[in-house]
Amino acid sequence: MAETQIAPQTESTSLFGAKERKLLVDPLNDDNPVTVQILGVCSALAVTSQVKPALIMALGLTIVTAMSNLVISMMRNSIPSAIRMIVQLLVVAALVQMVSDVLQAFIYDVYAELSVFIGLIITNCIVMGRLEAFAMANRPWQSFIDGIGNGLGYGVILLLMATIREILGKGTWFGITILSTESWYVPNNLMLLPCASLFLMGVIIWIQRGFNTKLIGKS
Amino acid sequence: MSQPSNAKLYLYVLVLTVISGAGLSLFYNSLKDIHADNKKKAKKADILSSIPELGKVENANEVFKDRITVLAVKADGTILDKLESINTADRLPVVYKEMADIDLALEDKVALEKRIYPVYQYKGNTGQNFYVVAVRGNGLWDKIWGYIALENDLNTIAGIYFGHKGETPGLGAEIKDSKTFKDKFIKKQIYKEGKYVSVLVKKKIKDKSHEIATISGATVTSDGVSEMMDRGIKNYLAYFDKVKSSK
Amino acid sequence: MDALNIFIKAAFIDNMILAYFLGMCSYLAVSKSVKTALGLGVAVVFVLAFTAPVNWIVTNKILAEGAIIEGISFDFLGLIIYISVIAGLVQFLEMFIEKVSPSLYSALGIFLPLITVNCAILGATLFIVAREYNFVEATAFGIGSGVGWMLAIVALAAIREKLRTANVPAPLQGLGIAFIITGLMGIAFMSLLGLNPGTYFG
Repeated sequence: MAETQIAPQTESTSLFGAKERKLLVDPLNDDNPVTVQILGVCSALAVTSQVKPALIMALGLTIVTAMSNLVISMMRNSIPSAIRMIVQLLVVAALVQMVSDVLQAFIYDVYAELSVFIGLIITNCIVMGRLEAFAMANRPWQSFIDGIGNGLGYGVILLLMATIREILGKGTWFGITILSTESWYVPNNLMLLPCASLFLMGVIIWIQRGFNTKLIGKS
Repeated sequence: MSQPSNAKLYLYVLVLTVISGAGLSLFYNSLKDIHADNKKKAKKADILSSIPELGKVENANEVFKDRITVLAVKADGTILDKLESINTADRLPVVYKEMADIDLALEDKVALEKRIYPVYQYKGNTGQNFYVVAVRGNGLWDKIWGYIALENDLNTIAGIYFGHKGETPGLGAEIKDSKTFKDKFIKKQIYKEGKYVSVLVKKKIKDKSHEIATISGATVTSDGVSEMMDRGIKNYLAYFDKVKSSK
Repeated sequence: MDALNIFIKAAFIDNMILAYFLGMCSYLAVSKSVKTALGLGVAVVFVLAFTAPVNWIVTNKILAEGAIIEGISFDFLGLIIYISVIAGLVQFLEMFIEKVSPSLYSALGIFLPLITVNCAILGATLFIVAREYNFVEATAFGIGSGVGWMLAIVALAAIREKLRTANVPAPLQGLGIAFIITGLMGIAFMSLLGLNPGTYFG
C-alpha cells in the first residue's frame, strides 16, 4: 500500500513549524480533498443545496477527522494491518456515537439538529481516507493538523458550492434573501438537483486547474 | 509491519470489541433515562408546534399537561381513553405507562386490526380547539413522521409538524426545516365535497385546496410525505365521522 | 413486488450512481480505464451481494427489539455494526485481490479500502431497512444495486477512454470533464425516475 511507504517524520523542532504549516495549508488548494484527492464527493453533492447544512457538515467533519486522526495515530503501532479497516471504523464510529450520546443527554436541541449528519460524517471517505493515507504512518500531532487542514479544504469547496446553489436555486444565502423571488427572480430549480452540483464541481475544478496548472493531469 | 499470529489478531479484536462495546453500553445505559426524558419533552414540543396559536414552546411538559387531552382511537372508530383498555394482553409486548407515550413506531409491532392511533385534543385560550393526529411513513433513508392539527371542522389543516430520522440536510430534511413547506399545508382540506382525498404532494398542482408542490431535488421524500398523509389520516376517518355525528 | 422487479429497478432505474449519486468518490477516481473500472465494479457487486443479506439478518434477527433479549433493542448499535460487517468483507476482499491480481490491487490503491465507506454500500443497507424488504428482496436489491453501480462505472470509463483523443481544454481534462459527463448522465437518468418495472415485466 502507498501509505506504508511514507517515511516516518523526523522530530520537528517546534510545535508549529514549516511542516505543520504545509499540512494545514496544502489541503486548501494544492492537495484539496475534494477536487484533487477526490474524497467526500457524495456528501459534497448532497448537503450543498443550502449554506447552513453545508457549514454544519464542514465543521462536524473537521472535528471528526482531526480527532480520529489523532486517536488512530496514537494507536497506529499496535494495529495489525490485516484487520486495520475494522479497527479504524470501530474507533471512529464508537467515538462519534459516544459524543452523540452525550449531546443527546445534555444539549438535546443541538443533538436534534446534528443527528442526521452523524451517519454522513462516519461514512465520509475523507475520514477513512486520511486515516489510511496519513494517520497510520505519522505522529499524533501532525495527524491532528492534517485532519484540521483536510476538514477546512473540504469546507471551502462545500461553502463555495452551497453559496452558488442557494443563491441561484432559491435566491437566498444562509436564508437571507439576495435575489427576490417574489418580485423578479425566477429561481433555477435545476441548481437544487444533484446534477447541478456535478456541473458546478466540474467548473470549479476547471477554474482551479486553470490557475494552478501543476494540478493538470492529476487523477 | 510483520504479520502477527492469528491468536494475537483474535485477542486484539476481542479486547477492542470489549472495550468499545463496554464503553458504548456504559454511556448508553447511564444516559438512557435522560435521553428518554429529553425525547418525551421533544415529542410534546413537536406536537405543540403544530398548533398555530402557540409560538415556540419552552416549557412543553407543562403546556402539554394543561392544554392537551390524549385519546386513542382504532381504525374502526372505537375510542379508548383509559390505559387499562389499551394495555391488553393481545397487544403485548407494547405497554404504555401514560397516554402521552402512545407511539406509532411501537404500534408497528402490533397486529394491524389491534393498532391504536393517538388523538391530541387541544383546548385553546379563546375557545378555539384543535385535533392533532399522528402519521408515520417512509422517507428516502429512514422513517418520517408528522403531527397534523385540524380545525374544529375536522377538515381544514391548521398547522403541521414533520420529523425525520435521516433525510438529506437541505433536501429531504426540508420537510422539517423549511417553514415555507409546512406553511403550504395550512388551510388545505382533507375532504373534497364530503369525500376523503387527503392533501397530496405533487409535481404539478391541479387542485389548489388539496395539493401542494414537491421540494425540488427531494422527490422520494416528497412522495413519502404524500403517501404518509394519505394512508395515515385514513386511520382516523371513522373517528372523525363519529365526532361529527355527535356534534 | 417480487425480487426480479426489485433487481431491475435497483440496477437500471434507481441506479445508485446516476439516480442517487452515491459512491461517487471511487466512481470518479477509478474510471480512467475500463479494465480497472470493471475490477472495482465486480468488487462492489461482491461486497453488496453479501452485505445486503448479512445486514438484513443483523437488522431483523439481532438488532430488532426482543430478538436476543426480550424488551431490549440494540438499534443504537445499528450503524456501527453495519459498517463493521462491510469493513470485514472489504478487508477479506483486499487480501484476496492482493493475492490474485497484484496489478489490479495497485491500480485501485486507496480506493479499495475505501469501498468500506462507499456510500452506495451503506446506502443500500439503509434503503433495505427503510423499505422493509424481506430477505430475498434484500438480496436482490443488493445484487441489483451492485450491478447498476458496475454498469455505470464501466460506462463512464468507456467514455473517458474515448475522450482521451478529444480536444478538451487542459485544465478540464480528466477529473473535471468526468464530473460534467456524470451530471449529463444523471439528467438523462432523471427521465426514468419513478418508472415501475412491474408494469412491463409482470
